[in-house]
Amino acid sequence: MDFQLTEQQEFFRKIIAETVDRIILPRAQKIDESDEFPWELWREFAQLGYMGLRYPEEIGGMNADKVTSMIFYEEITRGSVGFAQSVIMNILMGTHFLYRFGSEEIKKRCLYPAIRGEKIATICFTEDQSGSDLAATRTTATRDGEDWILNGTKMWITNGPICDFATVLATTDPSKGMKGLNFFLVEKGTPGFSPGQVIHKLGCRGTVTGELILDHVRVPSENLLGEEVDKGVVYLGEILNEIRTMTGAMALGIARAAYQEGLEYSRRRVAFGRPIGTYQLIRAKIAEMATEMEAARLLVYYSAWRMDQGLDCRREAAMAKLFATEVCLKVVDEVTRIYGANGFAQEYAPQRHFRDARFLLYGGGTHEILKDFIGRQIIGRLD
Amino acid sequence: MEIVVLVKGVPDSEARVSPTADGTALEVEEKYELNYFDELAVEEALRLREAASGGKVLALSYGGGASREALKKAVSMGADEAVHVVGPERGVPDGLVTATVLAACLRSLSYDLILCGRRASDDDAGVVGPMVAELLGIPHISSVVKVTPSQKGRILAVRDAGRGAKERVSCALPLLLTTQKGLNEPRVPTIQGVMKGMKLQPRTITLEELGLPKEALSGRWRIAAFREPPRRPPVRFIGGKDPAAKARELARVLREEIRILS
Repeated sequence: MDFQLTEQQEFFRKIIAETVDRIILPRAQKIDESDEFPWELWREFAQLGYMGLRYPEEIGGMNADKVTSMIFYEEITRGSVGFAQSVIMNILMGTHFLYRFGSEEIKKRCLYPAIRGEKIATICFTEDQSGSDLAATRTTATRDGEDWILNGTKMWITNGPICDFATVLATTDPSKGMKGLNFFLVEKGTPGFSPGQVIHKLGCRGTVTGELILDHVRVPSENLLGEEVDKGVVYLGEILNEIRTMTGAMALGIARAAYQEGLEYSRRRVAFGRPIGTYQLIRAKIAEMATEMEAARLLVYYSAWRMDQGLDCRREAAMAKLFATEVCLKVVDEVTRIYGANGFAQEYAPQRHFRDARFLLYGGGTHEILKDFIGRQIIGRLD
Repeated sequence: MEIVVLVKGVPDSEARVSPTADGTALEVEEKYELNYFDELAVEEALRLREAASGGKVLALSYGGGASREALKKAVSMGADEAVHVVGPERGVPDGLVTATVLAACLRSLSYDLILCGRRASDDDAGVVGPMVAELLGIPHISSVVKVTPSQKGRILAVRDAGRGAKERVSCALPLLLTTQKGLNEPRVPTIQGVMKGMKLQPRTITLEELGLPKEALSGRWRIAAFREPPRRPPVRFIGGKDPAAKARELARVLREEIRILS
């Protein structure tokens, strides 16, 4: 067994960590406080080329393996979750189906500019009555000659109100459930496609999240992102494990940011004449957090490693997301306790990590759904 | 202009460093980074190359694995080439030995300008740059905070002369400059640069290939012992309700106990 990163991955980790420390971390508090999309940082970061992380070098990417990608997701999230969410949307979910199925014209118009950070991408799954339950998708796609007509409203769309294009999940027939799903490209400016309400969130502030309205939106047949009609759920399966493992890596990033704050505070804060890190109960918190984060890290990177090896990792990806998130939620809570009343003060970072971590419960599948999935995988079909 | 940047890998600022039990050596966690002052040197070399719309920047390092890390970072920032003179993995090399090795290597390289950090953040000796210049028989300007290529074949540099004083110095090439904080803001590598750094296989040169006599490689300094720095005393609060009395007590402590006031 080899648990070490390769020399190349280790070098990448070091550089991206330095980059995050220099240009993202110093702005994290302000991004959270203002809750405005950090355009200046976006442009600065885009110039570094990381938006092409997982795409081939020929189109401006890095062709990173999954372990390297997870290193990136973990580090950028450690810097600022609000910023990381928007970046990761451009890197992964918001562009994947354009890369896989888009025509060269679509790629030139949307994918390549997104890789350069000149366009902002998103993907639209969620609706007001469907999140994890994708079979309940009510946004419809109806054939009209060579075109498709889309109708529906999408909710909780990361980058939604500011996106230049969206990959929209829609069904050709709601009665088909999962077997009627398809992905369509819809570009900003298409008649009938408009942003709705912006959702003001507890955490992940700085990412603009909101509603997207599709009112008789007409798109040409080439905007169907797939080789066949009604195969959307199959195509989604291509990246579902990556999304779940990525969410686990984001959990590690938030946990590490919070843990580091807690560790430093335990060394610095004096109570009863001694640094609080000298007290056993504080040491126990540090020990438990460090141990559980290490376990979560192993699970996240094991899942990524299995992806790189071409092995089935459906179970591992679900476990990684589930476990890393639960560890993260515990860590951010413990750090606010180490901080005492200061953990409740907006002036300090722990409250931000505490709020940010909550989004992990929903992104990549709720834990109730994931546990059911893992249980079914283990027990097998009994009916 | 052909520029060689001398770079050193130093323990990462977060790496654990502690003396061995007998105090004869240091135990350093295997985490290294490019010395900050050398990073300034790499950045300045790249800016000079970009301003001239041409030329070459070569990064040169002497040492073990830490040198490879430093070279990778230099290449990820934009250096064109990297040369690694393979040295010992551990230990604190004598500055003169390092300078002798680097100068020997530089004699086989083509250069107009040599840049290096004013000092390294690990041993803080600040001797290698000037020694290299001396061994090569070229002038050097130390602690530069501004570099401008002036008329052909000359460099105009502003150096930090200490206590806020600045000196403007003009000097003919070839020349060695040591870089001081404030010279520039090192760039953040792009993903293309990072990929070059990840894939880097530097040209390696062994000490045998340099053909240096054995005595040139035996250091002249000896480490007597390493000791942990004294621990910082705990924070002390001066109590009381009367501000004037508190101020008097503070002045007394500063004068009589800490002795920084006379």
